[in-house]
This record gives sequence, C-alpha cells and structure tokens, in this order.
Amino acid sequence: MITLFGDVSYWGEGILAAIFLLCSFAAVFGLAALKLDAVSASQKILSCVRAAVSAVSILSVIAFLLFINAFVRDDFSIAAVAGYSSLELPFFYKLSAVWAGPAGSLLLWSVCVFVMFGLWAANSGTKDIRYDAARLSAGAFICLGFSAILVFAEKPFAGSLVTLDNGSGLNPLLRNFWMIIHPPLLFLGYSALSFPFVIIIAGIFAGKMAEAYVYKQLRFWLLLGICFLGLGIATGARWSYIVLGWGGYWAWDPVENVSLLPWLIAVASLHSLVGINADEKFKLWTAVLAPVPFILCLVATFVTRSGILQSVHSFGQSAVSGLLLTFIVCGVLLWLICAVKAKKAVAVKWSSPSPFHLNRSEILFWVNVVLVFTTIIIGVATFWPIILQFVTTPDLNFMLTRTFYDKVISAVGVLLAFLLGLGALADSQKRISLLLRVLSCLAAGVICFGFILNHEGKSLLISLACGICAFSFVAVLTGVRLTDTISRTNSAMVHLGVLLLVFAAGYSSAEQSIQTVLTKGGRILLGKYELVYDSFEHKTFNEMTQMGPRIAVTSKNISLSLWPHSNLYADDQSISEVAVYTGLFKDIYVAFDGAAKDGRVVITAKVKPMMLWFWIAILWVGIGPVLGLFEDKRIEDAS
Amino acid sequence: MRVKLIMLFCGVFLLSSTAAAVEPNTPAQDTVKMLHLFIQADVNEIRFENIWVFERQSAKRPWQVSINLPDVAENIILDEPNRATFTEDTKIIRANLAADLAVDSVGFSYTLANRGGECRTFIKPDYKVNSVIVSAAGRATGLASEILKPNKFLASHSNAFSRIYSAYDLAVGTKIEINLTGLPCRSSQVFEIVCILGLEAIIIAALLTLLYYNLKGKRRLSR
Repeated sequence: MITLFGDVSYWGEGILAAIFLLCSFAAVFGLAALKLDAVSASQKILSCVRAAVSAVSILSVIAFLLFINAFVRDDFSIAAVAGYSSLELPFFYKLSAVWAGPAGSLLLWSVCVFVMFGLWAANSGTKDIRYDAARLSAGAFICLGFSAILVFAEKPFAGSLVTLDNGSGLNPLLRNFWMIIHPPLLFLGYSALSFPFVIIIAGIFAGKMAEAYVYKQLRFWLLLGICFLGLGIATGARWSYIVLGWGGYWAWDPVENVSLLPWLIAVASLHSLVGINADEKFKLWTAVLAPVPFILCLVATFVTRSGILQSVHSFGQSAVSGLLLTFIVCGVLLWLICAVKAKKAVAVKWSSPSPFHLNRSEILFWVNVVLVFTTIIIGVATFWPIILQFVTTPDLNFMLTRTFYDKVISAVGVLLAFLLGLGALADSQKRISLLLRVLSCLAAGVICFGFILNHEGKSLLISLACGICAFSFVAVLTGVRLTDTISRTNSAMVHLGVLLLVFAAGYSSAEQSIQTVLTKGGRILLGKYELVYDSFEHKTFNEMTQMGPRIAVTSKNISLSLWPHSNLYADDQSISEVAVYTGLFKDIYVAFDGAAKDGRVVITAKVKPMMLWFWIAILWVGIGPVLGLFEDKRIEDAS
Repeated sequence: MRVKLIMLFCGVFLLSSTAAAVEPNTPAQDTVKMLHLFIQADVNEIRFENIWVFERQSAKRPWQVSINLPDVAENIILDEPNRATFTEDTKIIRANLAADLAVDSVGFSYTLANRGGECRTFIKPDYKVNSVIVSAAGRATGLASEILKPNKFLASHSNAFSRIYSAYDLAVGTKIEINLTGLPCRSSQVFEIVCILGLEAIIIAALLTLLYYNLKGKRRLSR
C-alpha cells in the first residue's frame, strides 16, 4: 500500500526526522517550562510538550509498522531487509529478522522507549509543575538521543547499495522461537530502566526528592524493568541451552554479562527503595543507585555494537558506537552531578549506622552491598581485556575464564541466599517465634546438607550451598502470614523463587558429561543411562536439510529416543540443535558434534540434574515482579 | 547455346559474388533474432549487459552489423574486442560476424548514471527485431515502457531476475523505451539537514519564549 504514496525509505526517514524534531521541541521547551516563573505559561508549554510526546509515540509505532511491512513484503531496496531477510524465510522469522540487525534492534528499543514515555507522560501527571516539567524534559532528552541515533547514525530505512532479488537471509542461530521473543523482552526491560534515570534527574533538579510520588513512580519502572529484563535474560539463557550446544545456559560471554549488570543494580535499587519504609537513609542510596541501570544498558549496547570485546553476540563494528559513547559520557556526568546533589536533595539527617544490629534495614543494606559488589566484580572482569591493554601491552588480549566467574557467582549466590533467610528471620516479632523458626530452618538446612552429601554424593561445597538454600527457604516460608499484604506475599514468593534458582543452579553444576566417538550400534554408559547409536537420519524440508544420529537412551525407568541434529540451510549456513529429554529431576542432553565419512559420529552427552526446577525458578523470578505492579494498581483503585 | 548459358550463369555468379564482396549487406537485410538485456544497478550507476543475436538469410559472405548506444553511455566493454569496434564520437559499435554462419551474436555492456534512483533511456535498432527480453534485477526496480510488457512466465522460471519484460516482432527503427524507477540511491541528507536546522530553530524559539515571559514578568513587577 505504501508504494502508492512513494518510497518506504523516504517515508520512514521522514517520520524519524519528525520524531527527532518533536523530541527536540519537548526536551527544550520542557526545560524552558522548568525555568519559567509564570505558572500559567508553564502549564501552556507543558500541555504542548505532552502533545508532542504523544505524537512521538504514535509516529514511532507507524515507523515501526512501516519497517515490519518492508520485511513482510520482502522489500530488498531497504538495506536492513536485504541484510537479514530472504524470500524463503518463514513469516515468523521475518518478524524476528526485523530486530536481528543493528538498525532494526535500535529501532525496536527506541519505539519501546517512545511508547512507554508517551503513556507515562499522558497518564501520570502530578500536580507539581516543576517536577512534571523536569521529568518531561529529561525523558524527552533521552528520546532525543535515541532519535538522533536513528536519524544520523544507525538508519533503519537506509536503502540497499545494489538492487537485489533476494536477501542474505537470517543467521540460522537466530531461527529459533526463543530468539523471536528474547530481543523484544530485553529491549522492553532496557526501556523501562530508562525511567528511573529520568525520575531521579527530575526529582533532584526540581527539588522534589522528598516527595512520595517520586518513589512510587520509581518503584513502578524498576519493577517493570526488572521483570522484562529478567525474562529477556531468561529467554536468552534458554536459547543458549538448546541451540548453542555448549551444554549450558550461561557462558559468561561479555554481552551476556553486560545485560546482567543493569538487572543486578536495578534489583539493588528496588531493595533500597523497599528499605525506605524502614529507614529514610535509603533514599540517598536509592537516588545514587536508580539511574545506574540506564547507563549500564547504554554500556551493554555499546559493547554489543562497538566490537571492543570479542563475543558471539556482537553485531561487529557499527557507526553508532561514537554517538553511544557520547551518550554514556553525558549520562555518567549527569549521574555524578545527581550523586553529589542527592544528599541535600533527599533531606535526610545522616547518623552513623549500627552495622552489627540485626534488623530488616541492615539486611537490606547488606543485600545492596553484595549486589553492587557483584556488579562491580562482573563489570571489571568483563572489561578486564581492555583494562589490561591500558596498563600493559596493547597486543595482550586476556579474558577471564568461566571458572573465575563460576566461583564468584557461586559465593555471591550462597551469600545472598543466606541474607534472604536472615532478612526473613529478622521480621519475627516475638522471641519464641524467632527461636522456633531458627530451629526449623537449621533442621531443614542440616537435613538437606546431609542428604545431598551422603545420599546424592555431591561435593561438600555444593551440599553446603544447598543446605543454606534450604535454611533460607524455610525461613522465608515460615515468615509468610495470612494477614500479609499482597506486596509482602509476592516479595516472599519471589524470594522463594530466587532460593530455588540458587539451589537448582548449584545442584545442576554437578553434571555428568562425556564426549565420545560412536560407530553404528555402539553404546556408552553415562551414570545409570545407556546410550546406543541406532541410525543416522536425514530429513529434507524446503529451506533446509536436517541430519544427525538417532540415539536410544535406556535405564531402569525410561526408554527413549533422542535425535540431536544439524540443520543445513539452502544458503549453505548450518547450525546444530541439541536433543534434550527433560525429566522431573534430570535432563538428558545430547549434542551432535560431527560425523566422519566412515559413519562414525561424535556426540556430547550430559546428565544435568534439577534443570526443570531451574527453568521454573527463573520464570518464577522473572514474572514475580509483575504481581507487584498489580499491587500498585490495587492501592490506587482503593484510594 | 549450352556454352552461352553456362557463361551467363558464371557471369551472374561472379558479379553477385563480387558485389557481395565489395558491399557488405545493408543492416535492413538482417534481423535481430533475439535481443537480451540484463539490467543491474547500484547507488552510482546502472549496468546494461547486452546480447544481440543476429540472423541472416544466407551465410558464407562477410557480415557486419552496427548498434547505436545511448549518447550518455559510459564504460563500454566489448565481449570480443578482436571482432568489434566502438567509436566514442558516434557511440556506434560495429561488429564483424562469422562469415560462415547465418546466426551470430554480439555481446557488450555499458553503464548509465543512476540519477536519484531513476534512469530513462531507449534502444533504437536499425533492424527488424524478433524478440526483446529485458531482465531487471531488484524487486523494487520498476520498468516502464510502451513496448515492453512484463513476462510473468519467464520471471517465474528465473532464479536470478525477478522482473522480466518482453516484446516481439518489432519493425525496423522501433524505439524501445526503458524507464527505470526504484533503483537504489544514496540516502538523501535532506532529513539530516532539516533536523539540525529544526533543532537550532527550536532552541532559539525556546530562548525567545523565556526572554518574553521574563520581560513580561519584570514589566508587571515594575508596574
């Protein structure tokens, strides 16, 4: 239809330019409204700014629909379509090809930010003109940054350099269900985490950090960001588990790490926010922490697109990295100014803390310390090759191994699990109840430790970690009361999910694994399972051929057939897909590593315990924060 | 009498052979059996790859054909430079075809400038044309012509070209127009310039607004 009115590229670029101008208007006039003394004039300007922000969100949706339309119509005159789609690509993968490239993914992220900001600007106005002006202006400046990238650097509607009858097609690694939903979830998370930055900047510059509505808005966006980013990371982990064939869900790849950093700080900010009820000093801690996730999201994008770190996820070098680096520097400078102004802005009388007195606020403080400390360690370790190049020889490219990260995160996971238990116990109001709960927690911990050490034969450290998880699990569970608010019950449920996650992750690390060469009819023993190479099978479809060994797996209780295989696509690209049998307590995981001409095959087989529980826990932790949003709505409705 | 008849035949044969050797056959006597044109474009130029297949009634005599190129054609490359020549001034390719064949071909390519995603040109052969087939690469590329019509049958059997146009039995001197649109073109910087100028205008407008309201406020205070 759009061809009736001209070129898609022309219209797309025109709409993006209009968005840029509207964002400029909103940002600059929002700032002017903040500086104006005349209230009526400020109100008039703010209503225009709100209209501009709404127009931005509508136009961005139109631009995105145009972009999707170009993919659906196979319009290879657009470089992004020619680069990431093809005629043969099934419809759903054409949709995921929309955000497979650097320009498309940035457009998706920008649209998420514009729409969220438009809805927020339209619906949650406060009666405070100064705060409204500041938040609209700050939000519009962020939108201006995104639109500047789309107009000047990473142009989604740029035309192809040559005329093409067919596109290059989508990378086979991305032709997977989880890759259809992973990027949108991630970008929704990144987008939501922009607003804590906006709120703190607006609160500090408008002098409203003492107001309750600032923290209420902050809580909403932090919960939304944590939820979406958590689910984005979880879907990415699931994709790694079933596609990449390395036998795990997390490889401590730089791009994976940098997506975890904003989530960790956002969780720390949320706990700091919760702590405000118990101790006002957390306001300062919140004001300093809450803007950081947005800066870390920009850093994550910079790492993905600049190619400064080697990663399986990177887009390679991109034109956008210079502009992004400028935004990061601006963001860091603003954050530093906020951090300096925060103490005065929050207007809290500072007294020396009493670190050894066990209460809820102290535990929250230490949870924050652990989360921030973990973020710093993972951040420094991820950027270690660059840091090393600055201090030693430029040729040295040294990345920290997986063992290092595993050790750090195991220690942190167990420490957090223990703090969770302590936090739940600190809520006890009566001594007797505290004593009973401590005894039941200790009993659960000791029983779990002993069972896993002796019966399951796991190592001392894994048994200890699982014992601590059991201790805290009982502590949180016994802390739930029928009279609790939904928010408290939800918080307890999420914490139980976190404990299950730590438990399952720890337990699953003790996997049984073997890589072997098999001839037809050959068999191997892996734990109590026998694996037999039955036959080599081919399946041919329109766009690809699948081939791989059929492996029969038998034990006392089960008898099943698994088919790990390689997908060979028409464009000569190929990937391997693992075969996974998911049991209640164990996954049987077989990857096809290659075949020789004489019919022998190389396979990797693993028995991974507790994986089903790991995925349940990760989903539980991901979705949990959403229930907190309903709590907000319920309170609003009641009031 | 019999000897006279033989001498007459020999005389006519010699005369016709000599005449044939002295004067190459005029273009109008030959036909273009097939004219294949492959069009591919990038942001700078459009390349036209030509295959002209000529046919004549009788073989075994020298055979020369000539093809007029558009005046603005550039980068002319002849497939067989040893038997064809190109004259830059007249933009004419002259090719000596195989003397012992009734059907032979000439291959060459040239480029035209891509002007903002469009290109207008034409071919005017000095021969009767049995068939013209034009294959345009690029799904977005559109070709408009009064003579050439889309050939869906050929397009459906082509892996390389999505748009194929054809025309048949064209008289001598028929002008085959080729108007191409939707070609790739350099992204215009108009929007970028508009954005920068617009941002500057907005900043100035905001400053003026601030100034206006501040002056208004001061005036009110002074009253």
